Amino acid sequence: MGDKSKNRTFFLFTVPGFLLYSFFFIVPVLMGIYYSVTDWDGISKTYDFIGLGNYVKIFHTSQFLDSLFFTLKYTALLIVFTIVLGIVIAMLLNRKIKGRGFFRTIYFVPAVLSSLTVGLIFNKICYYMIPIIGNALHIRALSQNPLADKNLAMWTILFVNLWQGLCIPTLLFLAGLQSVPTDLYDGAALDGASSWDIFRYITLPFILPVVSVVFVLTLKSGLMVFDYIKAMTDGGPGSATRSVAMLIYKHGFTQNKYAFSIAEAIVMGIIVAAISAGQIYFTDKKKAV
Amino acid sequence: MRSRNLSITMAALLAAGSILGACGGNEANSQGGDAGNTGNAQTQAAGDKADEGGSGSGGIELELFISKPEVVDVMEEISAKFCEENPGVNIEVVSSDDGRTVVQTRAASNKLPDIMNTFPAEDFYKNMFREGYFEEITDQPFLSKVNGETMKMSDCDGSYYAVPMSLSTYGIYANMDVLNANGITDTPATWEELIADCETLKANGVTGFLLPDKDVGNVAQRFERTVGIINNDTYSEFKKVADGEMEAKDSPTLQTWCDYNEQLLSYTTDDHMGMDYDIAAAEFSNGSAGFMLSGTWMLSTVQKNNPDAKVKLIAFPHPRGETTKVPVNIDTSFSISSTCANKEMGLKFLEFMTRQDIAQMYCDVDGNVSTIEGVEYNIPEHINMKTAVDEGNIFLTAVNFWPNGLREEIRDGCQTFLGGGDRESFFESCQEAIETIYGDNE
Amino acid sequence: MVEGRKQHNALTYLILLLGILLIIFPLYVTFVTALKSDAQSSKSFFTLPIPMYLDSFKEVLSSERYWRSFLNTVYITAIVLVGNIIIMPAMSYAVARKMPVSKAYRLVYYFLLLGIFIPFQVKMMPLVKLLSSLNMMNPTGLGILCISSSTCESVFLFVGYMGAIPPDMEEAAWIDGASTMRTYRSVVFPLLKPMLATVLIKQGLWMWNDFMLPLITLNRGWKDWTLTLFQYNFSTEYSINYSLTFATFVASMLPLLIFYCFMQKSIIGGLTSGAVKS
Repeated sequence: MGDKSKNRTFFLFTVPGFLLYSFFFIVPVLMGIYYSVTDWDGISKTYDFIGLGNYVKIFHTSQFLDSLFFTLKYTALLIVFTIVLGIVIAMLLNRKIKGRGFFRTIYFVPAVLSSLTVGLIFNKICYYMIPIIGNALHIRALSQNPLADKNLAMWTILFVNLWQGLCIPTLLFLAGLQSVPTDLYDGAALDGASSWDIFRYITLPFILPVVSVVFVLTLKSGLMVFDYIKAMTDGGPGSATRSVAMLIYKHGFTQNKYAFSIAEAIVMGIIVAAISAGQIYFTDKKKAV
Repeated sequence: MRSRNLSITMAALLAAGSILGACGGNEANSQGGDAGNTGNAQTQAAGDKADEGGSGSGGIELELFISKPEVVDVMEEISAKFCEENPGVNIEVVSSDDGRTVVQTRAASNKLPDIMNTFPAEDFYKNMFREGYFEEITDQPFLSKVNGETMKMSDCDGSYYAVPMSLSTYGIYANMDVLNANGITDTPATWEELIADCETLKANGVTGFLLPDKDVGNVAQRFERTVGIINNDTYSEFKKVADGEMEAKDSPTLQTWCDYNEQLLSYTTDDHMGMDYDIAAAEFSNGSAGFMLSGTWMLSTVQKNNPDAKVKLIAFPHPRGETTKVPVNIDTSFSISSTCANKEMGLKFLEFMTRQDIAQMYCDVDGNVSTIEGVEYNIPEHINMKTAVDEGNIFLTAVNFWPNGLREEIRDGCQTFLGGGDRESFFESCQEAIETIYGDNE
Repeated sequence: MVEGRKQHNALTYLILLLGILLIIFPLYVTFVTALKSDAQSSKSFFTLPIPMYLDSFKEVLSSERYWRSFLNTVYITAIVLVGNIIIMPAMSYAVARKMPVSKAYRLVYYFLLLGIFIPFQVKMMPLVKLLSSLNMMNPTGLGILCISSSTCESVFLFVGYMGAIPPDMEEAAWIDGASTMRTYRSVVFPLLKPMLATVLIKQGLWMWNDFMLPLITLNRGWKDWTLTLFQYNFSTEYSINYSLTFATFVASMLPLLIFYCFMQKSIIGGLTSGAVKS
């Protein structure tokens, strides 16, 4: 009995997961990194080492930067809308009203669908039904398939993404709201505090940790967005909705620039890691203060 | 509480045990276990038996992969017939729309399907032939049943790896019901006649052309086929652009492409930028427009959608009035992979496909022009195409000569132009695309 | 005061109902289109399916492929969930408790976190090579692969959750003479349950609905398909027939919708309780 046996058990707890992860996750990633410094086309049985050539080539045209800019803009909007709408809906669902359970149930339904199916359904809706609705309501912008418009296409994809992607964050916020002690609200109400003050000084501090988790999860899904775009616009019109993941797919699987596409993915990974590290550093610092 | 935990853990351990067992042991068996619960237990059991036969004694199990979903049904019929004539063989037909991804991942795993359709004139497949992914069939006697011109197109460094079954041709589908209803009796033969017909339709409030411009793959294909009609040798013209001998904005072919599209855009629907190919094909079949650009493969879709539709495929007239040739591509071809489970049987299947009655059966459904000796081409809708092929008034389409990836690179600029973009930025994007791709492939 | 509250509630209802309309409308359209013939749909997409047209559904549901895909999906999801139950809480427990004192465990944790930032495309083709060399291009192989893919996120969530649980109770059990294994089973595991529910629901939904991994690993014939692959392959084959297309959509989402209807209380309860302390 003692630390030794404890350590042994902990070791045994860690080993299976660690090995599985190392083998099926890290090994392919290392192989991928290796391919990125070759000229492999994804098919050939032989390929040559070309050093950092692929990495240099990424910045030869504006394609990568354009896609990156689109992806960052999209992600920023996605995060803002997810957090703001998520909190608002969670607070509404948290009010003591009749049928609360029913509302909560319905609001989670989109989460159980596959994003590809959701994209395909909305693709059909955009062509067949939006123009009918737009014409009936005399909304000029919606009198045509919104996916055909350079500017509207991104907003349509964002809408569809939120339609489905809001569910889990909303529930997480709802859970966070449960941790606010009710007597604080009662006290504030007696003091005559405004609703905004109550939210700002009581609710928000309690759900801040959830905001941080939602931020990371949404950041990741926004930066990697693929399924919705593939199903709805395929990156078009032109290259108006081409995310980095779409670009990587295009290079790797339709143009056989496989090694090059991996290099792009790695650059993207570094950017994501840098943003996340910055965010974690920032929250930690805030906590310390 | 505790006992419940324990039971969860026990169940988990049991399950884990069975996973490990399944992993090391025979996959077919563990799958067969849950298949027993389906409503189709009987057929399933039969299938499993065949599976076992494949790995065990006697039976031969072959996988036939088709990247053309529209011919899956007829290929299943043909395979069944083959198995009937060759007892002990079982062919499973597999299809996927995302053919390229599937082929690429299967090649990476070094287990290509036993028999599959390839596009022997395209660079992508030629590279695979050179890498030894497929069996060479140069000396097979049944190749003599294939039209000689077509065989030449499928040549790869002097060897053959695929049996070409049919040639697809590209042009303009005319909906004769729509044309006749508007007093047009003959299909247009020149660009002027085509535009005149569109004017007539427009005056009657009928859409002239359906252009599915939301579908970037379709935009790419239209670009590739029609620039080929404008100049049969675009490879050299674009090479000059890549080498700096010419600028994209001075390319006569690209200029003509812009000219003709600007004209056609005035006869299309308002929502052309929002239209997918499948929607356009359905609308065209139902008579919502006079013309649509497509190739021989669209006929089966049209007929599925509206069996009474009267359509005709005609040549795309040269927009500058020069002589018109019809772009063709090798469509269905079959190859056997070098990992084929039974090469002898694989070869036998290829030979079977070239048998006159079987090739006829395939041709009647496929709609493309058959390249097999003795097959009658009974498709009145495509009679003009058949004539073009017979007279040799054809050229192998540009994608087979272009460096790999050009079509996918240039299409974004094309789509932007069709969506109302200006010429200048179109030429700029072409310039960049051509330079990038020619540079990549040097 | 009471007056104001009533107004507030009316507004709440209004907004929530509007949201429900937004959620229900696409689903409504999907269901009625599947239940109408193409001729009915082309008249109007929004009307109720009268008379009801069941041929499309019959065609999808009578397809052997559908049921096979369904069973495959259940099978793979089950592997992933069981793997997550066995491996992740125990591993996270060890990592969370040893991290403050052991550099090795801290490294293991950061090593795992690294995985969150790596785009899928980096390892896509290597994975195919790896899996096929191990003869794992089948549902079982995909299940095992997905356990390892879920490691980063699961451990990330568990370790964060463990941080909020004070070690007092474990220490008490330990002083009582319980072994570490026993302490884990009787004290730690029950404490982790709320988070376990969250993790299982998240991973389960992801696995059930994933498209890319099945596409690249399970393309050796329909006997291996999952529901998303079935839906994709089936609907591209019949893309011009929207009744059939939407029937395929419905059929592929129906199992999970039904499951959710029965389990919604525990699912929502599970998700909400898990996040409280994170």
